[in-house]
Amino acid sequence: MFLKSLGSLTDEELMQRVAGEDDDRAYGELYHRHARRLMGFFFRQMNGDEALAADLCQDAFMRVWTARERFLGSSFRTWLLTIAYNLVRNHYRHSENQRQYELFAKQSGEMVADSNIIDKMTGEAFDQALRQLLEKLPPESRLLFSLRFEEELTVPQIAAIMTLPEGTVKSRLHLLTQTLRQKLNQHDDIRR
Amino acid sequence: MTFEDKLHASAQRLMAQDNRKLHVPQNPLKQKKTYWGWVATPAAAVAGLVFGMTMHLFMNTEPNIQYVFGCFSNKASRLETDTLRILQPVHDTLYLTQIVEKEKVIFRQAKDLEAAEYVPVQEEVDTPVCTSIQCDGINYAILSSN
Repeated sequence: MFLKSLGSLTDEELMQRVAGEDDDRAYGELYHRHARRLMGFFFRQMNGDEALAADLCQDAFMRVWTARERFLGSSFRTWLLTIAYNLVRNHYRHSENQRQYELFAKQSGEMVADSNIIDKMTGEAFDQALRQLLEKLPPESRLLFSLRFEEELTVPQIAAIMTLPEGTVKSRLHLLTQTLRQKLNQHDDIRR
Repeated sequence: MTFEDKLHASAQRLMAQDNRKLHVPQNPLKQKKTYWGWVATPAAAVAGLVFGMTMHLFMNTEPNIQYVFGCFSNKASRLETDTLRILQPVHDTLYLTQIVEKEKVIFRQAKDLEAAEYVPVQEEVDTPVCTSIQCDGINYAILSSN
């Protein structure tokens, strides 16, 4: 293991070096591997605020360093996303964005949806419509969407990050998917 | 393709688009730490150069910058041996009669090769090999006639 180059080590092996030996080179390798993706995660949660996403990304990685001894040897990515998830929640707790999303949730059932529209959409049109919808999604739902569809985590991993029972995560995911389907069918650009 | 699959594929495409254009900040630990290698390496090189020059002066020799960088000095010497063998024909056969001289030559490489001085340092003359009937009682003419 000693002779292995850092690039050939797994995230967990690198993190063990960081935790056990304060190895800042191993930390640098982890940063190199995950920083862009993590910043993208923040970027989407913050509705495209790149400066804020960069700050949160650095904040998350500083927490990785300061809390390195608390890493238990499980998946590094899940651990990193737990830190990121808590940072996003803390940010929203102090902001006033919550109210406008409640309005979005209320509008869900008002229009009659055409269930065939999604099937007729091209990939590009679907992407555009989804992007617009995601910008209006309430923070908790946006986080759930990111963890499931962007970060491709399993239900047990998401449950661990959100500190929720797996059944709750499953039902929330089902509700989110249904809401998105309904909203996409109502989308103005698609109906044209 | 189910709706979930469509969502998944679309989310991956959007994520890749976003991530590609982001300007990722520097590693937060790197901003705080100075990499001492950038300071230590040139300092060690300068110290080594100064030490080398000092040693040259201390040893009362002319400072030679080429020596410091690992090149051969222009004072370097090369040892060569030159041997002259005299062969004498007796009937149809050539016999080695004597080795006239064997000398060691120090060839000093000066700045200009044309100005190189040829200095025979040591001259060794081998004892001539005696091959006559007066010396060792052997009649070489008879031996060679067969």
